[in-house]
Amino acid sequence: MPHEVVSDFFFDVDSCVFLIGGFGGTGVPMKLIEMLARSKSKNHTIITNDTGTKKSGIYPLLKNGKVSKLICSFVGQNKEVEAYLSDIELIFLPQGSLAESIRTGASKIKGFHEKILDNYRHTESIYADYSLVKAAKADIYGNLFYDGTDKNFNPIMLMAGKETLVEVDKYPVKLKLHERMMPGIYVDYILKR
Amino acid sequence: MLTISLKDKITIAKKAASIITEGSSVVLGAGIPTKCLKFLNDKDCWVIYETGIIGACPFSCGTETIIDASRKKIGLREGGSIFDSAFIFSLIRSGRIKNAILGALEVDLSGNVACHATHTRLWGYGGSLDIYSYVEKKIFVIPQRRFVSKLSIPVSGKHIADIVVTENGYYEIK
Repeated sequence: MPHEVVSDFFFDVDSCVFLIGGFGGTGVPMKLIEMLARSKSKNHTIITNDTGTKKSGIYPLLKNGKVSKLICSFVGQNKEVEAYLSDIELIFLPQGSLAESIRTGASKIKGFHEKILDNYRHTESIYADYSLVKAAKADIYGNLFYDGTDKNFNPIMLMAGKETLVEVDKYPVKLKLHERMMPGIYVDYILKR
Repeated sequence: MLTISLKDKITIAKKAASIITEGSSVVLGAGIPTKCLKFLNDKDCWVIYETGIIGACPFSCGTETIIDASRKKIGLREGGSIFDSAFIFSLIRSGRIKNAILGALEVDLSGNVACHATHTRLWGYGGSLDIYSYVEKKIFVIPQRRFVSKLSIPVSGKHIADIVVTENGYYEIK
């Protein structure tokens, strides 16, 4: 069964790789992001699809100087983050390559060859120390239910992290079989919103 | 940046949707392409969004969070479903989706497309390169002033556009 997230969880974790779920501000584990932003930790690599919006996304991490490297597919929706991007290492991956490299990382496949435009290239899989993801509901076993398109990157990111933290709206609740979209065996820690 | 009127956007969207065969599947990008949804829905098409939707419809019914590529709340058509990002891009890359209607910053007469940056701003590619690489027919819906003889900003993909639709007309790129 998953543990509850304590408020100083990220107190002494410097230079870690984080996978953070969400797409354009939806399905973002905002409480976990704020917790990491408030911590004393620094020098992190953040892997996320996009920078979201000011209220919902990784903005607090950039603002508080926690990020040294950002791997993502898109930063265009959020003007607030622009000022911070010049100070960090920024790597763009096509969204499908990003998704696939997380999925292969979760399966411990080292990398893969793919065709992007007319070029073949090798893409390395992504592995992370921590996954921060968002789900709508969890039962006491950590089984997760996602709400609509809030699913986005959350399931694959949950699978690819060494330690996983899930932020949920409702916990603990009973989930019917068809509502158990991810098995709780992937979930180490739960934070109730 | 100069804006385009809602009326012109609808004209473009209607024209682009009229190119799509009834009942076929289409990926829609963010911006003007999302305006095509209503017209494609009338033609019984399967609209795919990179947010995870297969079979979008313009009306939000039910309590689920369902958003399009421009973060607008929409709904699911009968038989529609929602999957995760890896699944959606596997589907887009499978070649089963034959059409894409996309926006861009600029498209030129050779079908070269600019979508990820200007000289002063950086957006990133999002899902565009996956769609350019694996979807057969790419229709670009842009204001006329963005359809240029030669790109003035960094190129994202060469010889990508098959059709360009603007408020003034419809151009096939050979």
